[in-house]
Amino acid sequence: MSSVFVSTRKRPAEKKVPRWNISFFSCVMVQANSQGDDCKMRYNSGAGRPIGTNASTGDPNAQIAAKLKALYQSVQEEAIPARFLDLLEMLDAAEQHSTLQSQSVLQGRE
Amino acid sequence: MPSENQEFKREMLAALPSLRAFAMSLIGRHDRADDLVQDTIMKAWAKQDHFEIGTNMKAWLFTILRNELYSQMRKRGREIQDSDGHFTETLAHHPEQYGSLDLQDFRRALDQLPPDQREAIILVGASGFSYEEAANICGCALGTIKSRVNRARQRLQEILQVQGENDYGPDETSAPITSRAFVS
Repeated sequence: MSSVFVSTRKRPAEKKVPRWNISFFSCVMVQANSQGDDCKMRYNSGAGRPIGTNASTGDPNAQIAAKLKALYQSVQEEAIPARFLDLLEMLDAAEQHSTLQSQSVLQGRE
Repeated sequence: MPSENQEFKREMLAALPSLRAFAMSLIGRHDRADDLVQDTIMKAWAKQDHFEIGTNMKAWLFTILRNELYSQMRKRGREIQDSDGHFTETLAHHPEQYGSLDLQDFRRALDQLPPDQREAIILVGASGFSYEEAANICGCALGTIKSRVNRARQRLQEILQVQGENDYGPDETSAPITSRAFVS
């Protein structure tokens, strides 16, 4: 349910977020390989630059945007607390009750 | 009529996760944010006749929440000013809510923004609203929202750069891991 409203709209003035997962894991592969036999994957992995390059030289605005979204989504992805579900049930029940009452009052008048 | 009522309730439920995220981003504390969300639900329920099914429920709820927050802040104005130190202290006790040190730093930086800049950058940068929608929610001109967002970005950069020099956040090796856990 939490994903219903996420990122359906265009977000202006935003740069692409660096893809950490790709560069990070390919770096790990390079390191692991270079400890053992001759490294076949070192060059075709396309990695090899130091970890963190994107973070330290990347556009600061993109970093801020990514952190803001991470913070926001950490809450958005939480389950809806029971207190709100209960509250909505209560409001709904109270309204149905009053509707029924007013209907019976009206019927009584007829 | 009952079906319209159910539709209203269903749409409200669907908007709750983002409403909570908005409240939490504005306030920074779960307990106060959820109290505000509860007040918003009550207000919205009472005003449901004013809402047209099929229009933007999320924007409508955000507007109510925002107005409610500012009217509560006006009422408690003196209280909040008096407890400035206390407020910062409570923030410092809550950061375990955000797994990485990086996000804790960001949370603190966000809290240092003036409220109008904070809400502007949250609405546009995280809630997914356009500048026009954000301007409607805040009841101000489009240009005002744009300049608030720009100033918020500049200010956050300044604050975070200063903090970066303290070498407080995750190092280069752990930064990709900690930030990735929240992005994916």
